[in-house]
Amino acid sequence: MNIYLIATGDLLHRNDLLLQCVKDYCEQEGILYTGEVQFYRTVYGKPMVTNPELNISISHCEKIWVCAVGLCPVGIDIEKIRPIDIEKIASHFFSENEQENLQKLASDGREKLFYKTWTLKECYSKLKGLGMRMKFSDIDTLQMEKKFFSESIEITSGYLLSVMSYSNISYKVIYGGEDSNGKIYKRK
Amino acid sequence: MGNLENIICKYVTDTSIELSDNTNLMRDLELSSLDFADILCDIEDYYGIEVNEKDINNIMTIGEIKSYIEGKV
Repeated sequence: MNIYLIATGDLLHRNDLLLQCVKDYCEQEGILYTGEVQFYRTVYGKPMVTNPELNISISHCEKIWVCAVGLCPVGIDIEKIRPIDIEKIASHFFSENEQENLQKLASDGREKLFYKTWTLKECYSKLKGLGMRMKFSDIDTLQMEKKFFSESIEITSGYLLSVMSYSNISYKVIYGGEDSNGKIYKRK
Repeated sequence: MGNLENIICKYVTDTSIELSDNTNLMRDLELSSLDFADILCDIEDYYGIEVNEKDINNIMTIGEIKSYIEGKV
């Protein structure tokens, strides 16, 4: 699986970026397809690729756009770590287990755990294809650790990226940007 | 601009976007789900209401938030 992490000024209507990522993944993995790459969104907004048959997940935060492309179902989320009322948001959107776990930590560790928990909830809701329509306090990420593969990594100064799938996956993160013609370039 | 719009403006990076009742917070304003959650907490504090997560799953636009607040105050 490839995770494309693209710095861009314009985050809306990014089917053009998605198309480039899918084509790049196919090229790298030797996946052949005929005709145009076909995208659509389910009624709940989950993006899908049908030609070729691939799984994708998209997230963005400020000026960073990320996309996971691969053969397995996947959910991805990125958030910028910033001052936020952790306790209040957790009281609304975290399970009781998660809230108790958060309370055990000192403030620095608490912030990191908060963002990890939040992004994993997002990943799960995207993996299931329901997005924000899921009740986040019903998602207990602590119970998921045995059932799902997930990883959270801190990237590019203060952003946390999480990825989740049904089984163990290997992935590589590809860092890049967008030139003035809307073409993705990769950073070494 | 109304009080709700003032709350939302704090989270919007592109100030050229004009807010209306039809503005979708995530699709039109590029807000993340965490921004949305943070806004709901601000609304609770400002309007003195309790926002229940189960009530908000289908709320996406400024107009829908206004209707929700009106039903609570």
